[in-house]
Amino acid sequence: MRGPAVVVRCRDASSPWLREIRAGMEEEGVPVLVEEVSEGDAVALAFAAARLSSLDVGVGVADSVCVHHAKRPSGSPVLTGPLGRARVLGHNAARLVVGIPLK
Amino acid sequence: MALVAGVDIGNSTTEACVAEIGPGGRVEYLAGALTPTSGVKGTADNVPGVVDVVRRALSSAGRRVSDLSAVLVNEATPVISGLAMETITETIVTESTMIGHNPDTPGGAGLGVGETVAFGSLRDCAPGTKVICAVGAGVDFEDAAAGINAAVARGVEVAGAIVHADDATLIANRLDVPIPVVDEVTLVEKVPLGMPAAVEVAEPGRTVRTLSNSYGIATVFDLDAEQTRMIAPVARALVGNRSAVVVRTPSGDVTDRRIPAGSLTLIGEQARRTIGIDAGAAEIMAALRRVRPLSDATGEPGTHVGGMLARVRDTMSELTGTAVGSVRIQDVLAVDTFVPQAVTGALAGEFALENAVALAAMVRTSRGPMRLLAEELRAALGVEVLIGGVEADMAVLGALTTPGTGRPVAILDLGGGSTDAAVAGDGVVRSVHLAGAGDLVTKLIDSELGLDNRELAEDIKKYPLAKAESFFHVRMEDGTARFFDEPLPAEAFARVVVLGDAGMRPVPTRHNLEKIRQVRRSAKHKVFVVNALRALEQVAPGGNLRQIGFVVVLGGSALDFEIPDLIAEAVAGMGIVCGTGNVRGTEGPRNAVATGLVASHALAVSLETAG
Repeated sequence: MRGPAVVVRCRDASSPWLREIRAGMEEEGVPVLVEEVSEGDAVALAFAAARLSSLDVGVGVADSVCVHHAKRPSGSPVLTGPLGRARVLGHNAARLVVGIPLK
Repeated sequence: MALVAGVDIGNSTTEACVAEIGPGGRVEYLAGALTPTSGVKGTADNVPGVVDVVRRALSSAGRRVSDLSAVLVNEATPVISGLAMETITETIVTESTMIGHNPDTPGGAGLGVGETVAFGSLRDCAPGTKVICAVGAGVDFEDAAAGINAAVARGVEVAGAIVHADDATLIANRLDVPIPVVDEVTLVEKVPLGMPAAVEVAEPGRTVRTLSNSYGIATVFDLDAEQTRMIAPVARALVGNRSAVVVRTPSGDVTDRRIPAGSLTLIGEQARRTIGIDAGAAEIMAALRRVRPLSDATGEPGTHVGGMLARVRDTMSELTGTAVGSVRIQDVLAVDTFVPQAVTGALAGEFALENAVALAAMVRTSRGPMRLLAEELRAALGVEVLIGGVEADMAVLGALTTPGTGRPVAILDLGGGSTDAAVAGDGVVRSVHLAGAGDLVTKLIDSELGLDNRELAEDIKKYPLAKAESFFHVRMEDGTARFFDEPLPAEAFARVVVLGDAGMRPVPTRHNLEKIRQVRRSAKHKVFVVNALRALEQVAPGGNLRQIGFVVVLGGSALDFEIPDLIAEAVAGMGIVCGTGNVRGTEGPRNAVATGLVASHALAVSLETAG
């Protein structure tokens, strides 16, 4: 059994961008759970992560960062952005859970 | 049988009504149409719009232009209104500053007081000193937390922190001793160092209590009565924030001053009064009542008021070809409002809501250009064109075709630039044209919410609000939910949105739905309810509203989803039946003047045949 958390799926669990995504979510006070998987692009990773998340929100990290919601169509993520925006995208993934406007 | 078309050229729309007039003046209404007015009302530029609307009304009645025996046009005296707004208070901060901040994520909670010190100098602080640490750009949250923890371990009392980046919670979470942390302070490097300061962060869902209270600040900084008076505007500016910082220098001097905003001279037929704009709307309107009827108004040159009145005069003189000196301001409406203004002397670009007065002014002219308009129209359509009676008389006649009305009836025509009223008693129609209508409401909404976007303000005025609660549904302002098949865009998520005809539009402010709704309703109240009462009072027999039996609300703003209700509520106590018109039982609040023109023409025809 897992507690409530936003699920982050990434290709490389040692990626320095994960710290930024975690920081963004911690700032908003939302728990996070990281999983490493072997394949998929950011959108596919994010959608699978969102389906796994008890909070319906997932983040995919590959060449870019994608934020997805389990109730949205798989090909229509909430947001995608470059790795350099990992902190902001972390904030926004958490904000989807908290229910405050995205930044 | 004669086929006629009544045409009403309004400030924003041109309306037509096609009817057949039978023997004895019996009227059979066939169709109506509406189109945007081309050019300024009452000028020859209106011709293309009139031709278009007549053709459209005819085609929906299945007739041709050649069947027409006459086109009846209203006596369209152009009404021009202008708007100006003047700020009348200003908050100035000198030798002392405040940073009022309301980001979504401050860290920690409580009140911390100490001397400001830069993060880099924290290691030089002697044990036992009480400090507020200012963390500038580029410092990582882990380093910031480690630095503060090290200082605390040495015995330095770090009471609070001010941070540049958005990571207050991250820092607070890594501290051994919890302190309040305010983040997203973009100008953190401007915080004066070595000065007494206080940082306050409220628990989630609460607002600061100490720094938003003058006596709270006085307690923190040990101020005397005179100094407390000076700091009062700072406390006021921080009300409602979840976090705040106040930095004080020993010779602090914060003032709240009244700006001389220019004066307005109201010239009545018998009396004249000069009143300062900074006296406020109530005083200006009271002065107006004392000099009524107004024959002109002038503003002090070099002020906004002076400039606006001059602009209205210039535009009018250009349109009508009359000399600037002979253009008269016929009415003004003053409204108290608020404008967000940058606090003078503040360091972090803070804004405070300053008092302001908005003024609408109106000019009315002669029917000069109407003959030219009629001639060009005659040439364009090849049909006889008759200039009909006074607009107010026609509107009353048209309004009376609303099912359920009777005399004595009053009409309120709520337009974009002016509010018109007329009362038909025993054969005579009395009417007034007042300044202030839809455009002023839009301007008030725009400035009070600090939108700086007229188009968005217009949408907020016209359509109900909702809050996007998920990607697939919104909660309307009345509490009902509405669902969508397609996911809503990310920028609408958790925001207040306006549900217009063209779709959903996010309102990019921090204001919540209730605040936006309240600003919208109060702007409508300040303009339309005030003007409705003012107008009815001037046309009612003996100035007594109770003498009016029926009020029919007409015009574009009568289609608004709440203005007619606000007015009905305001006059309900006087035993008046008030509602939105439904001209000919089919046209709603539109087409009253066009219909009135036809009715009046039919009456004239029947009198002729009888005589």
